[in-house]
Amino acid sequence: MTTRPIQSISTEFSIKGYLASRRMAFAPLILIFFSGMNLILIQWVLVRELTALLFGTELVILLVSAAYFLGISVGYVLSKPIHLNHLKPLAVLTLIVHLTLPIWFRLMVTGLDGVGAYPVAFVLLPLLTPFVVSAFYSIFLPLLIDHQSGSLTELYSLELVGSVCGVAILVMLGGLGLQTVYILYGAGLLAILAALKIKRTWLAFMTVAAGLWLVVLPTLNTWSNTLWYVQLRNLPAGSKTLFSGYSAYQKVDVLETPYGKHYLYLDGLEHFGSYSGERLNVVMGQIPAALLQPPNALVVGAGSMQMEALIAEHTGYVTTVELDPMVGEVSQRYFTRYNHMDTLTNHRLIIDDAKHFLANTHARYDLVATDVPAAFSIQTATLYSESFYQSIADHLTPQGVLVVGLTSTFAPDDLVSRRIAASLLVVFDEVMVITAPSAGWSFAYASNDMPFGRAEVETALQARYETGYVIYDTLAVETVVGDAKPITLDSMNIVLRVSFDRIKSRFE
Amino acid sequence: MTESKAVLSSNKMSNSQLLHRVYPLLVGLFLGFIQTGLFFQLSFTFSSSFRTYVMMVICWLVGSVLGLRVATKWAVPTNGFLLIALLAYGISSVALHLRPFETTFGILYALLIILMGIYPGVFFARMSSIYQARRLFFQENNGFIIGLVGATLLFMLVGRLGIWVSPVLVAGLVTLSGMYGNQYDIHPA
Repeated sequence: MTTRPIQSISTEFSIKGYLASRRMAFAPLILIFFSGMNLILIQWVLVRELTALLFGTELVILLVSAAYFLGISVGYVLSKPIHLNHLKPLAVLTLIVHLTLPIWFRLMVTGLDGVGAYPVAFVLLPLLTPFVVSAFYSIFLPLLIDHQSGSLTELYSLELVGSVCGVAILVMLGGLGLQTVYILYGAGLLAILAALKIKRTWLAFMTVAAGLWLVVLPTLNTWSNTLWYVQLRNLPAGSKTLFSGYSAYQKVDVLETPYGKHYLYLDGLEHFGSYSGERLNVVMGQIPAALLQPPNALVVGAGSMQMEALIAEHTGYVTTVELDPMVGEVSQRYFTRYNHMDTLTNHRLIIDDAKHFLANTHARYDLVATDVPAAFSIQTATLYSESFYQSIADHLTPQGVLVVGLTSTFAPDDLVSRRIAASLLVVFDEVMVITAPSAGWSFAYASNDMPFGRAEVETALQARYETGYVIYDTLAVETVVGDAKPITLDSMNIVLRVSFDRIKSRFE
Repeated sequence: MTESKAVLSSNKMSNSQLLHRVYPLLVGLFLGFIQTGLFFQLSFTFSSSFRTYVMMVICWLVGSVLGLRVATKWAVPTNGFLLIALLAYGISSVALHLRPFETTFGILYALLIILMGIYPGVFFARMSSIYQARRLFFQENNGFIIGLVGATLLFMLVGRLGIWVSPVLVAGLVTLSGMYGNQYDIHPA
């Protein structure tokens, strides 16, 4: 294979004198270090934003991640034909595009949906991602090695160190929000521009422009976010974004309608806000708590924490275990009207993975209720698995009850709810499934010694204005479940199905 | 050894060329499988908190830097490091299976991930004398993408068996490639 005779960067600049030589010998190191750092930072922003825009499911997460890494391959390919001089305008373009990326991605999807072409986003965004997001940074490593600016060992080590710094920034400052991450990200890109020897006047101009943009970014960020939710989620005009942030796990949004109603969205999917969601908290939280009067209750997943407030009326103490601290924070800050966290004295919030928490606590609970998203991803699907239910069963008192949402209407032709019920049947002797029309989803009460019966449940449902409900006792549940297999760590194809159905529904 | 020299001019030319092209891709595939497989296992049987993710990424990167700068100079064949990575993956999988959610094992997993990360570091350091950097990174990254997607789909369709067995099979292919195309299993100078 022939290679073009290209002068090395350090040699090229060595003729400009000692200081210039020193500065430019340092330049490749700056390029590589900040490439490694910025690749991590932009991945943080991009994966969450794109996942939310495409209504995050496992297939979407996979598609976005693959597109991001494909961009790195594109950069390696581009490193051959591209000339060092081309990198300056490319870096300027990258700075402009990346700092505005969340805004224009949202506007693009909103526009597509406006003309009835939302499904195009599933093709367009993954196609754009490799070229506009990650490709730029992966050009430098092979290019500089080719230009003999350093050995692969030296330069690649430095890129990895840059990546470690990127992760450290996210750990320490990621919680402060997009603006903070973007300040450091922008600084990294400006350092790359400086290392590429862009004219000082241009560099000064770009620095000022980027600084001004970062000042107005929060306003434009919430504006475009609201626009997207009004268009895609049919919120009424005049709604506003109260909070929008990228947590370590997902994009978290809180919106308020002109009528004062608050909505919680996780990765673009509604977690709380609808009437049926509130009713679900009543039938899954308030009713079993009223029937049991449990001294000790546990709720898995925070969400709006309305369920906790409804349980707290009838219990000695309620503990919430939530993985994402950002969800806990926004719940305590924006949903006090629903959860009364400002006045509740018998509640505590623990930030931990529920599986890990249960495996490491000796506490016993009389009531455990789950308030977790549907099995859109592998992570959430594990919270519907047989092993997780076994872990909960191990922490229930002898007459303790587990309450689980079945994520759809329990019926012989609904595989998801049947498989969740099948998981419960493996662990518990008694499983009662209830379909309450006002709540949307069916839900299940499971126990090894159910302390209440069908009659008490009916009375409680009627007392809370629930009509037209259907109650399945254990035998009926077994009949409807039929040959559906329980969800286990070795049987997660349900995620693929849920994910695929979600995407398919967007095309219909 | 240069790239052109690595492609032998004997009657085994076509096989060598094929191996030459496929070898970094297979290594990337192996790395994609063990990284994704380990992430799933740690998430579901240790903790799915951000701390676990950070531990995994940092330890992997630290291991890679160690591999690039230090371990590559050790008199251990590249396939030896592959075996170490596979063993570390196997030990992690067994420990996670037998003692799920054992918080005190955190340091053990961190060390095992560093051991896994050493292999890609050594691989890149040593292969830089055989492959053009661009081609090396490109092929390895493509393999990694296939591994990432493949391991995720395998886990959803087959379960843990898929992410336990597939790295062993791919490691076998990498080893065979190294042995057959003798030039790849190089020792440090």
